[in-house]
Amino acid sequence: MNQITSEYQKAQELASSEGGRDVADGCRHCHDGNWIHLRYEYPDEQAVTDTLYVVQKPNGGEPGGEVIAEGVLTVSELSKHRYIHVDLGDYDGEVEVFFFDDPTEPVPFEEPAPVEDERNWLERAAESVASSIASGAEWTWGTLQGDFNENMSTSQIITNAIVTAVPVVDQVADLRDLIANSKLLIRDKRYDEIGVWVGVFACLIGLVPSLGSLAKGVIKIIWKNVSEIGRVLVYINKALHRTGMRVNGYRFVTKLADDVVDQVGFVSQKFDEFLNLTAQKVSLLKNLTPGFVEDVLETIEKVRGMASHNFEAAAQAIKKRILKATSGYATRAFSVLPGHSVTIRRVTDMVINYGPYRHWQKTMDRPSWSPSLPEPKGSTVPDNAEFQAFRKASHARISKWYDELLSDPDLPDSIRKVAITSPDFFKKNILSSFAEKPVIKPLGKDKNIPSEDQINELYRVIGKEENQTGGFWSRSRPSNSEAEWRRENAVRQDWNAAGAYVVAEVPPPDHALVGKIGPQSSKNSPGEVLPGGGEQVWLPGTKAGAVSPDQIKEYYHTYWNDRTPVEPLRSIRNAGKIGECDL
Amino acid sequence: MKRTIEAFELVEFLIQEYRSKVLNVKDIISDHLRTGKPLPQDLHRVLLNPASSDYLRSCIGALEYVENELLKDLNRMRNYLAQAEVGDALLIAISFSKDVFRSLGTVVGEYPYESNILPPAYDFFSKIDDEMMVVFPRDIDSPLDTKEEIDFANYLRNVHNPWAKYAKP
Repeated sequence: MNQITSEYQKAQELASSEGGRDVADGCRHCHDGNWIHLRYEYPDEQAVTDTLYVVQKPNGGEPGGEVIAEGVLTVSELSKHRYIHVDLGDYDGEVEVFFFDDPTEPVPFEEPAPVEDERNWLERAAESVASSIASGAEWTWGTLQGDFNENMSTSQIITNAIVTAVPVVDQVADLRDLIANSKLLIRDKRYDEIGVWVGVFACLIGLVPSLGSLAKGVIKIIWKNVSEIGRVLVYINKALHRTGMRVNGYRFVTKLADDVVDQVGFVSQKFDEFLNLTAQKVSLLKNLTPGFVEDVLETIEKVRGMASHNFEAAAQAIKKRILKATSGYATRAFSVLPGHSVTIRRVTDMVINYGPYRHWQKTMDRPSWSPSLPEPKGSTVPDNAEFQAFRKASHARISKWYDELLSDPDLPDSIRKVAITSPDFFKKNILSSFAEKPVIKPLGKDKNIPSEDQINELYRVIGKEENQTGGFWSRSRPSNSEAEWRRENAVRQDWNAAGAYVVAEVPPPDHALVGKIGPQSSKNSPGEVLPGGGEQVWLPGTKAGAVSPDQIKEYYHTYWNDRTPVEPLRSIRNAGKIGECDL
Repeated sequence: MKRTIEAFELVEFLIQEYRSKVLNVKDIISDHLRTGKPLPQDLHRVLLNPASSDYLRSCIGALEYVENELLKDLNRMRNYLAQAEVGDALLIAISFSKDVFRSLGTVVGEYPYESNILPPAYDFFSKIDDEMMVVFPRDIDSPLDTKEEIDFANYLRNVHNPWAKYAKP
């Protein structure tokens, strides 16, 4: 892999030296490893530009998984390439990709401002606070308000933040913010407002070397408007890329959610230092306005006493808002196999995405389901003498079938083994679920069987991911009505939440029992019976399941699962081609 | 009729026994989720995905449901017996070996397993099916109410009914 990585690196450099465009018919070396191609489109198939993409390990179709790569989609109408090439490094499994919407053009990059030391920075802020208190003058918002309260655009804030990013400390804007927010605390006594503490917190967290002013900028924007997250991420990735910094926006922001809480102690300590300096400066003014100064010093002590608690609250509030931004404004995560391309297209009509998915999706769980709910209306019929006779004769009937099956020389070992080693299980849980004696059917391709009768693919409705490899399957997809599905398959409410169905390739196992489904009396709707009558396929297996997880090829939401994602996006997947990407 | 009465008493006993086992497993999983106390090896082997708290929480829901249903079935069976409705009582008695295992499918899966802490229901309740076939023999084409069922109903109605106290008004 190292060799491949090295070759890949060389190829990257070569491609980069040629302006990032295709090298002849595309960079072949770049396609030796694990990669995918991405494209994001408007409904008219024009490329969406400057959107941030994030590629993660599978996470059930939701953002928040382990990030493999992120970047800005720079495909435009003028590009020769249609797709962005994303290298997956050593990771050779399926991945998921999602986007942050609402991109706009970033402002040009600017040069960094000068650096000052941290102590001096705090001292300047303290001096400003003290002198303004002494003068008694109203603060002029135009000069002292700080950019936390200014009407700056997201691009300006982030560009400024990047300009001053790690490990630079001093910024005029940062200083003004600290002064402005401290004034709100000390002079205006607005210490009950969480937003004021957030302002101070954001200024001081900029002193953490690994976070810097970038953290302040991100907090500032997201605090004002979480929907700006898409722009924030694009600006960070674009601008930082141009500075040569290896910081990734999505990872920086998601990590920041934890960092803000971890840095409460640091911020409290710096604020304490700042208050000491401010108190010292104010004390020097005692002779001028003694009563007023004493009042200010008292307020400073009061603010100091509540700082730790309020910074903790501010950090938690910031964390909550960051998580809301990163989870609420990303698209769903679309799965892609290495070596494939995916085009995500915005559509004008909402699309219900039942599937297929490569993995279980969190939306396939049905939190509203409970095993004690009544059977859905239309899934049952009243119990009657015929059903009762069928149930009472169960023992005699299945004992007869059991003996007949065991004496059948065509019974395959896979089924015979289960029948012999666990006879009670086989009789009471398998045979008793059939209305008629099941027949033995081979699975897979068999030249002696007409192609329409061959069984190569099976379907199974499940409520939890853990149940995907169980024993009861069907040769057809579930119907679009839960009541109809439960009625024909005699699946009681308490047996299955039925939020999804899976498609498995068979064999193995080599054979199955296939037959008409018998009735089941309902527990939750007493006096009612799920009549059955459909066809079921039972697969022999062990505790680990009938099929291996590798045989599960696709996951779908059931048609009645009201959590099925409805979204204005559609995915189109293809095998990736070398000449189509930006390498 | 003594053997028939004992057969239904066996049903009562096994329902209570299995309820205790289900409750015990539910408490163990709850403790594990709350305090991190390790699951017993026996239970760990039985569960489909013991590493997932989400799955374990869903197991608690399934176990609660089964425990509750066992109690409901016990009460319903006793009430049928109190009213000498033998056929209905019998249908409940012979349902446990297949129904309970299936209701626990989300917890233990759909294939045979071995466990002392939560024995498979098809195994645990099989004595009931065997005993009921002895006291109420039946062929595939027997009438809905067999002679043995009718005789036992008459006995409960006219001679002695140990379940009379469970009659609901």
